[in-house]
Amino acid sequence: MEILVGRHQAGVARLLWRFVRTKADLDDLVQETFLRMVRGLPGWRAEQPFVHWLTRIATNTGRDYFRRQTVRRRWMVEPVAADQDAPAPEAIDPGGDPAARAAANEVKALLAQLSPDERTLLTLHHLEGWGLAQIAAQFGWTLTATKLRAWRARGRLRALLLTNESS
Amino acid sequence: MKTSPSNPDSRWDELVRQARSDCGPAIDGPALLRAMRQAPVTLREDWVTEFTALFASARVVPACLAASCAFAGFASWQAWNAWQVLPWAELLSTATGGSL
Repeated sequence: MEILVGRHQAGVARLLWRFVRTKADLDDLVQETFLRMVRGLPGWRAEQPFVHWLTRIATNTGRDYFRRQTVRRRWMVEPVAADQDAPAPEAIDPGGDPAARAAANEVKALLAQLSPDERTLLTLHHLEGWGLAQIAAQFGWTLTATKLRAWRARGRLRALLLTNESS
Repeated sequence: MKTSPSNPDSRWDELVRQARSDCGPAIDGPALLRAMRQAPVTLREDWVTEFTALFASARVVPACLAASCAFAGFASWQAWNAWQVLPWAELLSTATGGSL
């Protein structure tokens, strides 16, 4: 088990970082992914590449995280901004490129205003560079539905960008 | 990163290009391993193993005894019913001259 975790934790963390904005959330999601992996190990078929299977678990974990965030935001008594999960200044990782981190945070804040499925789709498509066919296969969607969903999401995103620029 | 306000697509593309080069922080590896060690691994057995487990040696004798008792009870009950009915059947047969 430790060998599996050691071998794949970097890849899983890199993928899930596209979904979150704080280190605490990243740790939680990585842990949740590996716990799901442990629970699902008896159901894993050897003919399926392990990395693909684990990636599917990780993307589903990320999508569930988006869904939880949306539900939490909807049922909050006080209206909460979509970027309320923005990292506190002291929590920002000092390493890395600050401009890239700022751009990533801005992209994530914009995507946070979309529905969980649209957010997942655009996160994987834009930030991870996945093709729409790959995303469709990952979540069991048809390619046509995925293209339509991406087109609608891009429309909403464009409207959000225009609103942000005008305000 | 200054782009034209009238073109949101180019601004978005520029943001995405920069955001892709963002690397996340290192995760807490020891805490992750600790959580993994505490997670119970449940291996599902195939149906043959589960089926043969039903007839494990520790269960065979009580299961046979229970089945024998159940069979003996059911057979006794049926015999008792037949014993009760048979004289009446014989009487009926005699009364009707054996036409039934």
